[in-house]
Amino acid sequence: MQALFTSDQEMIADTASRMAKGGLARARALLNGASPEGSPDGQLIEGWSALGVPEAQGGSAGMVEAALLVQALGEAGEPGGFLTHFQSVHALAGAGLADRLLGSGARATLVDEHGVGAARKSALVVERTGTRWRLREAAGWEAVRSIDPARLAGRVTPGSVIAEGEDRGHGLERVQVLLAAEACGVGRGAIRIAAAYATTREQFGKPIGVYQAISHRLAHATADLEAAWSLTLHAAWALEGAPELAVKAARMAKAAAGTAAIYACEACVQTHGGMGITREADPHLYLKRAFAIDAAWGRAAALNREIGSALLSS
Amino acid sequence: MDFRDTPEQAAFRAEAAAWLDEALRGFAHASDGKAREEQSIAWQARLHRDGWAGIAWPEAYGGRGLGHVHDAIFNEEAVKRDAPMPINVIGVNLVGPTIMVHGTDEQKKRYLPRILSGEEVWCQGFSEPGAGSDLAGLATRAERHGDEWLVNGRKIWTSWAHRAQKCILLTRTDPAAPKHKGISCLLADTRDFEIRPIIMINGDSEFNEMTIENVRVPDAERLGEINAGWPVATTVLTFERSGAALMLQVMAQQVLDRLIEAIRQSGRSDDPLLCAQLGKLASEVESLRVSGIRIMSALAAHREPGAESSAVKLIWARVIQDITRLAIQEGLAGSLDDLGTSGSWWTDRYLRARAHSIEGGTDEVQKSIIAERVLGLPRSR
Repeated sequence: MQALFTSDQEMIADTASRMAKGGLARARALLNGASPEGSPDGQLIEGWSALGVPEAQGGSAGMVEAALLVQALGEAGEPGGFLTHFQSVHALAGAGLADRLLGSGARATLVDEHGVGAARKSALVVERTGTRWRLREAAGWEAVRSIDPARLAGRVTPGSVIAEGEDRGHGLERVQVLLAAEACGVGRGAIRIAAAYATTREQFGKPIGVYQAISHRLAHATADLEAAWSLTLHAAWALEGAPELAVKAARMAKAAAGTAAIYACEACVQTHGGMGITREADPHLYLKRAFAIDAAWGRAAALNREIGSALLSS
Repeated sequence: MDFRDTPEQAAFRAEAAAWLDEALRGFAHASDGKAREEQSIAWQARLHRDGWAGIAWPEAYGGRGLGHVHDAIFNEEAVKRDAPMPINVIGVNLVGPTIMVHGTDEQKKRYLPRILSGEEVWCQGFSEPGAGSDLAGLATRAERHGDEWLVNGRKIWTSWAHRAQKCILLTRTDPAAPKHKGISCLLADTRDFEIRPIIMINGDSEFNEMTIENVRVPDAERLGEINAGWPVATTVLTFERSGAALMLQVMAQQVLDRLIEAIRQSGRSDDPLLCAQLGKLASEVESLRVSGIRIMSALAAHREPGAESSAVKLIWARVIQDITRLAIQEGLAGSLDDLGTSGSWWTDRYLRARAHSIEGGTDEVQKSIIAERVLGLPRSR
């Protein structure tokens, strides 16, 4: 049992937090139709796209590092296009094709079965058909409305196929673990701003965080997030250290993290009282992000059924 | 990050497993409470005889001199095999280590060997009818009379008191001082206590109430300084929390395994709602396992475990309550005619599980700890 972070891993989390500083402000800018300032996207894509990808495909470090990076971005509320690019790389890693994308120097968007992804412009897209991943050119884009207004979403007109292959290396699970890590971060960010608000906002002559009706809801959310984070780290480790566990571990992590993040964000809205239900305050930025993450690549509701069903038939 | 045993831990686990398999061959839990206690006494003696009684105790005190992780691994393997609870679990896990920290040489020599052997069984006289979550508000009075303390009061929820010879007893020695600063800890004989078993909602009598009237305890049996009993209590509570991480997970897994079996037998494995609920519960049980490994890894590296350790107790209580309730409400537990007696495994386990969110720190206390120590919210009391 050596389930501990190395100092290098702790440094990645710190560096990512620093780079993503101002993430909520950038999310708000996007919401207001402005262009966000100080986006770390370029720096992230340049320096971190290969994190956690197997070395044979041009990667470095491991999935725990990748999860720590994404968790920190989620906590900061970072809205940029790095995450979908990073997911694209890891999806392709399952098919042994990550180096094709990494080597191209181009940005990619991971799109769902409707061709929709979390970007409105990228030269390349990655899509899944059956159990295969496919890297193709994007012939054109149209904007679509997303539940998460602080993250651009678009539908691609697919262009010619560059590469494709069978997902023999847990590409889907890699994507699920990255989303789970982001969800844990989003939930943690929501609880952080809720706790800060509960410490300063006063009613009946006291900061509202003194009241257990407030603090215990946030503690409940924290416990669920911690459980989800442990599952996420375990799944990240399993992808490299125990591949036979990866499918179940990734499902559990994604389901638990999606559920915990939504609960944490709801708790954040409730803690903010009337301000929580406005677009002027920040809680909705996290709440909508949490739903967008839960809906991507395996909803908690569906994954829970799959987990239960697998246990009953084994 | 590695969630597997190190080679050294794996070797220890294999050694423990082999010994347990042998020691538990043909063992079955007695159905009667008294007989189960006899099994616990025999198990303590067996553990002691073969050198498994004090895995984390220093060799100087008769232990193996290994760490908490080894202790946790042994407990995990024992619970997996449904081994009996050793009768002196409180003595070995809580009282002994606390005497090692706070005791005089005389006390160490006098008590530690008899704890490991099970010759002297210990109970923990902490909670009172008027002092539960607010433990420091305890009122059991100890007055100094020459070389002795004269003790009067009541203690409650005392496991094993009816089998114990000794009690680690928190008493109020200075009623005028602030509540944390007027407590002293005494090592008392239970001989003169009046002990009444409490019948629990599932019919078992696991806990006792103790009435202490004019009981004399020599001052030489005081553990720690006068009016400095609170730090001693804190030491005990720390040991109480760290030893359980991996065992809790196994208890939850066993209840989950029963649920899976019950659903299969009911022919409802295709029920999507049931599958979804099972999937969520299974993930929570798995989170206990992986969080437990993270906690033990931190302890092994002499680091303070992170926020995951506060979450584990809350989720453990909730998941066992949820699983047992689901089994009953979905009709998987059979007839409810046995509800309230020890007749049905599910109803018995459900009723016992109501205590999980109360014993060892209520859900409410755990949440306040998270709110204050993890989230930095202001104190509510």
